[in-house]
Amino acid sequence: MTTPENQNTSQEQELEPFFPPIVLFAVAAIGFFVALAVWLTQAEFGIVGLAGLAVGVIAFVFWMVMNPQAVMDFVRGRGAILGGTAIIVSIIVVIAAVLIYMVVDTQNWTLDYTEGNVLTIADNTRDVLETLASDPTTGNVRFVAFVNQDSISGQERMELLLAQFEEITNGKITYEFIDPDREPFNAQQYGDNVRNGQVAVVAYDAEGNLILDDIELLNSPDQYALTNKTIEVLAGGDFRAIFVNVPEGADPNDNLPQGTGSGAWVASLRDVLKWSVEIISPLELTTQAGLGEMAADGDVLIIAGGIDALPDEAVATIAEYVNNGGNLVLLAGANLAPEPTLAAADNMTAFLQETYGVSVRNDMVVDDETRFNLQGLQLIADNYTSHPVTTQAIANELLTVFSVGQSIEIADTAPDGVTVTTLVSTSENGYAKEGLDINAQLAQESVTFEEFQALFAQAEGDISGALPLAAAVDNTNNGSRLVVFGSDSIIWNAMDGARGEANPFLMQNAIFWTTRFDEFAAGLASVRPVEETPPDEVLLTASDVSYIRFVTVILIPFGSLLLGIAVWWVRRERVTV
Amino acid sequence: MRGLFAVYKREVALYFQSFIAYAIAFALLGIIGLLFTANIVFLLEQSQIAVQTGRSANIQLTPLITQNMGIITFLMFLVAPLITMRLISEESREGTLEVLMTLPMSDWSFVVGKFLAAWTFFTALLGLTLIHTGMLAAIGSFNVGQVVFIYIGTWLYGGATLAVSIIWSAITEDQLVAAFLGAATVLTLYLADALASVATGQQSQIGDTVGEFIRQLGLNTHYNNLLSGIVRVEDITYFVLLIVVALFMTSLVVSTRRWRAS
Repeated sequence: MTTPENQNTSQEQELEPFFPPIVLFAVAAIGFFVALAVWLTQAEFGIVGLAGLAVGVIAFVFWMVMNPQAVMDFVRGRGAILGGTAIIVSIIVVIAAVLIYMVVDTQNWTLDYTEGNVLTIADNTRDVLETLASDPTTGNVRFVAFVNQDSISGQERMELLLAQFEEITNGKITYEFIDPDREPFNAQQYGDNVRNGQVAVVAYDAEGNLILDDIELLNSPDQYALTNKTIEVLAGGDFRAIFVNVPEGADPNDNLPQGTGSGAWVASLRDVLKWSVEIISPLELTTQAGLGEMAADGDVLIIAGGIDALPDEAVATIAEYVNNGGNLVLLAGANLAPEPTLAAADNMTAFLQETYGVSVRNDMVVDDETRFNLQGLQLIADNYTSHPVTTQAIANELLTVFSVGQSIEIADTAPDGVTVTTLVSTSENGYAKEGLDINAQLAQESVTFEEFQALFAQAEGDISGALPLAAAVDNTNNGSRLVVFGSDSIIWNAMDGARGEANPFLMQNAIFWTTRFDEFAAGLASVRPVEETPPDEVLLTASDVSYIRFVTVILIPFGSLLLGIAVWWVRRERVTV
Repeated sequence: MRGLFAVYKREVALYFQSFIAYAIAFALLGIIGLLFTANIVFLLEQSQIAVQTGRSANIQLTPLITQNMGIITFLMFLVAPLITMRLISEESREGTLEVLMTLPMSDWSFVVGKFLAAWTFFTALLGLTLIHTGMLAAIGSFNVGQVVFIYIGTWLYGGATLAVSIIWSAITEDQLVAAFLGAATVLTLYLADALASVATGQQSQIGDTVGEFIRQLGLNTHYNNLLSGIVRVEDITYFVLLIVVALFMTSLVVSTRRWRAS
């Protein structure tokens, strides 16, 4: 017989699902877990993630449909009300904590107790950075730090330092981080082998583009290295040197390391100091356009040697150039014939005397006291006047070699606003011969040494005394400066037997002084790390070590253990009692 | 506050009357002592070499303290659960928790009192390492400011790991399970940097975000700054917030037990 109870039971059995709802719940959980794992670990959510999410959602929905009572109990039950409140409050507290942390994180409140205070900008560094920030002539700089994902902590610390550079320079120095692993093409702009931990220091040009062909890479980017590299990339400034490639003069294209021309100077100025360097022909000097636009920070025209006089148009162009503030470094060519060299030619003499109150005499200086060789064609001089051009020569007591040197004539009365300084002169025994035809003598096959020497003997009418061999002129009327040397051997970088003498320093300083590059570079002084007090000397003896070993390995740990045993024993006795 | 202080006093007394606390101190200080002595022997060799070569042995000793603290923080994944495992689970297991709940004291006071007692015990352990530091001060010099913040950082690190471990002591009645889960949690937080790099290694925006979140959750991300002398307020805030949130959750768990029992 079928009772109503039995009927209900059989209906329930008919309605019982094929598998228990908890299985669906587990499937949903697995689906969500797969989706979460894919989301956390894969670059793209992908088909697996989507499938996991879909399975999770569908299984969860079916679980709710198949087991509505459990859902209602869960939502309306006492556990849900109290437990749900607890969960909500927990979430609110966690979110509040995260927000507090995020707000504090943005404040960048930091104290630096690192060894050597590496994250605190030292006073000397700060001074230089403030100078850079206030100097309108210096451009902007970018620090590009290469940090990969494994060095995020290092990035945080580096950012603490770089942010201070940006702040002190009012944004003149900015920075960015590039992950060389993830952005290899971007990183390679700054060098083929940039690696994690390096910092590239790059200047911006006037148009606001990074000058990527002038990058300084730092392996240990502390504040001092960063500042000095910044100075280096900025110190290039806007300077230009124009070499006039005159016939029989020093060859500016002679780039051999052992060459004797001015090629070394061209390379040095262009590659090391990042100057703009131009080499022009005398013909190009005949038009003002040939000289182009002057550089903003310093511009100099260099004429090294040359026998034939320049065309009058060329001299007129030079005159216009210097009247517009251009500078001139003039080195007289070897005077081996009675005719004046380029430097001593009439047109050049007239221009030099009018503008600077100096000129190159058409003579050859002899100084029996300082003859460099028996022929007398070369002499050495060490009679210097203190001047920025002669700094190293005086300080290191160096000698200057003049090959077939010509004397410099200095006007008794310099033009108004013109200051002339004799840089180098012969001894009091010096004299100058005019009208010598050394080429003719050398051409004779039968000339004897004595006959050749007789050419240089002092004669009546020769000017004598401490004859100027080089002079520096500052013309305040037009802002132009001139350094004139009585020989083009000053530009030579391989004087036989005279290597290491004053010649290279005089040439370098002549270029730097006329263009005022020396003042520019001095204004960007380098910073040196602040010297720290070294830690105290560690004075340890073997007995000290034994004592320390006893205290740290025996006394403290075993003392703690014994104390514990004593406590346990006392408590045990109390319990027993 | 009175309830908090009563719980605190009772728990501190229990710590210093418990043999296991001294055993923990013995193990921790023994390991530190062995490594410290090894470093001192190395220092002796360095100073002897310096004397033989006519140089002065100007050696910065801060790294030795850093190393000591590094050992403590690493071992906290074992020490913190051992210190906290019995704090609440024992009360639950022995049925005293319900009795304590009847006292006029909030759950928060109860949990904070327990936590402060554990932290006091840890502070005493940390204080014993001052003997090592004092001996270093006697033989050489170190960066005092950095050392002060190394100690503060380690103290906060210890507090955070204790607070996190207490949660498991409240959740389970089994002390071993509480210790195991506490150790797993602290170790996970200790290794968060490595876990973060797994996420960031996927080279995706989501992976980076998740990785950065995990890294920021990690203990060492914040502790290493203090260890190297970089005192960032956000790092100290992290430890304080971690302690507060962990204790809050523990008090919620205790509250849940209360209404489940009622």
